[in-house]
Amino acid sequence: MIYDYIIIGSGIGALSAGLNLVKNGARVLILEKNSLPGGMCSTFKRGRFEFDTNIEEINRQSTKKILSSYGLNVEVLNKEEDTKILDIKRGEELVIQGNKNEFYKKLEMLEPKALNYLNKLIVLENQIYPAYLKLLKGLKINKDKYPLFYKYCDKSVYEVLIDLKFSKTLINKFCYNWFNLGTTIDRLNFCDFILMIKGEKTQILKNKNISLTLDMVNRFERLGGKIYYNSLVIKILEDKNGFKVMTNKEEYQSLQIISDVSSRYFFKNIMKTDKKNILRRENAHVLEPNNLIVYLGLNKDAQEIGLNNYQYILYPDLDSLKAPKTMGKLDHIGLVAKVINNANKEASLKNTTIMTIQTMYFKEAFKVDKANYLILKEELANYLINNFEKYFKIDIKEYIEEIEIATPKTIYEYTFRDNGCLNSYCFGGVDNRLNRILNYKKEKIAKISFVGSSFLGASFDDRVLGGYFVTQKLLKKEIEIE
Amino acid sequence: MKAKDKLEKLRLEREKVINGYISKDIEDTLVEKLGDKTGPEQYVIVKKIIEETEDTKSFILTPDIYKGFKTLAPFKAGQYISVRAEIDGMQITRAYSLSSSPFEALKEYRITIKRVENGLFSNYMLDKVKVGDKLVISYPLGTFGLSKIRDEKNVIAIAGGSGITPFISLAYSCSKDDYFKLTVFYSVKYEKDILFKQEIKELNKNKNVKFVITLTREEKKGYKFGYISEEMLKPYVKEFNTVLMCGPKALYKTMNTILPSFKIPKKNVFYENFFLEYTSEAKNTFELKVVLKSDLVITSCQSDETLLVAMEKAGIKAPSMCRVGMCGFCRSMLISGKVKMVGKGLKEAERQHDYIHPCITYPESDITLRLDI
Repeated sequence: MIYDYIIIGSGIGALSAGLNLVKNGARVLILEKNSLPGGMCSTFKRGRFEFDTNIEEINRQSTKKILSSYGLNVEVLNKEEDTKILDIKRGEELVIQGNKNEFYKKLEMLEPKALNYLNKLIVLENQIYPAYLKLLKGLKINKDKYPLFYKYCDKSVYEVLIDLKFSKTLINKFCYNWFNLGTTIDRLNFCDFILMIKGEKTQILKNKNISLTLDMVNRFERLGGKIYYNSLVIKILEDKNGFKVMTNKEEYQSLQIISDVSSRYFFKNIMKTDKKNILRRENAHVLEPNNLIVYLGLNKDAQEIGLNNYQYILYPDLDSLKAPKTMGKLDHIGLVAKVINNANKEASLKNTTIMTIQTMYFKEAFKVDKANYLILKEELANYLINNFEKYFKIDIKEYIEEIEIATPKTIYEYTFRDNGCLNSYCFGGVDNRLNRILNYKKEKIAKISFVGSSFLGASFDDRVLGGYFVTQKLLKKEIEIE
Repeated sequence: MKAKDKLEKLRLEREKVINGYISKDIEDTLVEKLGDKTGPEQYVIVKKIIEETEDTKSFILTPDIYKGFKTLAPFKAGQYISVRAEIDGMQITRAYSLSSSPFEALKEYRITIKRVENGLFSNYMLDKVKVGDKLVISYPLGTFGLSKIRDEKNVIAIAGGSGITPFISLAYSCSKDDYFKLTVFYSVKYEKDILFKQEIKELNKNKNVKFVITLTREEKKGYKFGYISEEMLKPYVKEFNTVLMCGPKALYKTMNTILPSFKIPKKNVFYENFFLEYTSEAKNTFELKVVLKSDLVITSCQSDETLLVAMEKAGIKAPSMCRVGMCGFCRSMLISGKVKMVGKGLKEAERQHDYIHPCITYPESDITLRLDI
């Protein structure tokens, strides 16, 4: 049997691609090295807690439309912003709650005339967003109709906000969420940023991640797709008939390859190549920061513990241009904590709480010794928890019933995300999404495509879109996105 | 500049960077340098076999450099490994706690195996395996052990028989870093059954570690006599405690009657599980169909043995590690049939999608399973 496509990995990008292909009648085989699908969109169980490895947020409504075109109805919950931010440098506390309008009103209260500036952004959004969608569809963008897109397409978020005369303090507060973007606002392309924030609302999955990915697999199989678990692809050879894909046990044939693992991992470990033009694409990639996540199962209700917000962010410096300089070491205080039950009451059993505390390391901070690794892992987690308690003045330690720690090493071993970077290749410079899309045709390698976090971005929206985008092109169909 | 050119300029900028420097090879990242885990297994050589007692042997395992393993993976005291062997044409695994010091992990592991009556695997390990033999083992697994973040500093460990193994490892860990105060209550029948006697003596010199050995069948100088009791534990129980237990079912039962008197919260009590709680009373034989990637195996299964055991007996290389339903490595899909699954390792969504852990699943009718091997 020769498959039309073999997909390496079964993350959201792979499943999105696989579903679109089988829906269109292709013969597809997905090979997954773990015993469960999902990659970073997964769930693990400790004691009586089911922890989602990652909280998947849906910001673009088109994501659900793509999934529903595959025959999947995703159950979601609306999530209002509810974040407490501490800026240690300035000794300031900021609480952001509610929808975008309420956020803007809050900024108006804090920064004089903020609304005047923020309203300029709405004008930009309304022009840049549709232009960007056109670009994704491969359509021409009329410069007379979308002058603002042209004006700002090569600018970073920071450059545009300065151009719009935002004050530095307003920029800091407006971009308070940069920690979750995995890159800094002087590196992030402004149009990419618009694509991220345009959504009117944020939704999260109602059920556990594993519930979604098993639904996706189920649908994929019903449409004739095949998926094999415990199947680590170790080698791929190309011949005149296509590709010979080898796992540690079997061999499969296919006409084309779609890789959900990054091009870096793929060409380094699976399909070793001496083609310089292929290896050169790594020049654009930045592999930092990488991440550490602590998952906590608490044996008490969140409100009773005093965990009243959904998200807590601790910044050594709210200014995203300056903070990374202090985050190139293991003992910086930056962290983001999420109390999952405050967004989804059913995240864990009654009178219990699930929370995560996450940080990131820039530069070569996570250069550790193998012999000390496990001790260090616990020390780093302890340090994060202590800082959370100290700065937010909430005791959580005494309620910890279950704890799991994912270091960059864990993330790499489970998902092969390069260097354990949750955001995969970090957006920045010529490696913003916009640049990747513009040069897509040039970089396209015959019969080998890439999906997943390393393609359009690591957000849930981007992984679903990436799988869809790539396969629509392979199927020579139009990209339908709104 | 024309607007159209601006987008083209952006594209060209990227192209220029990509074409700029010709890299010969893709270098390892920090994380790749740190770990060498590439597959689910480690390859080791049996470096030494130590006869601990007349029915127990320790195996010292070192990395098999010919298979590309320069070091073994680090482990946390309390973790176990799963050992794989082919016995009479069957691919079987067993889980064993690591009993060596975690500080020696990169160089060597030690597992200690007691002969089980009619125990296929223990008999094989004790009678057939020689120094120099090669073994395939898993990476260290399991969450049993101590966490400085979660646990109270005063640790009471309860060991029965060969259940002492993880606590030797834990004692090394506690003796080197001055945080936990560990007291291990170690219950054996006779003095001759005591494992690691000399090592325990050495470890006892450390101020953070104390072993209290009790003999249940004979009175001897230097040892306590009788089953572990409330009185025995009392002097060592503080205001806040962590309790760890490893041993046979009977030990856990006894402890469950003793521990409530100390009012130790449930969240501070941990069990290591190497056995299944369930035994089927019925003795029926059913048909078992296993749908493999490119094969269909039809065999039989008994209502008093797990589906994993039935598959192993049929010569199917079914994946497994912990064998108590926790690690999820054996996860398979139930296509048809009625089963009794014990244990709590399965997630709700997996249950809804008809997944099972064959290592803890007993048949109650004819069964069809899907296994991706």
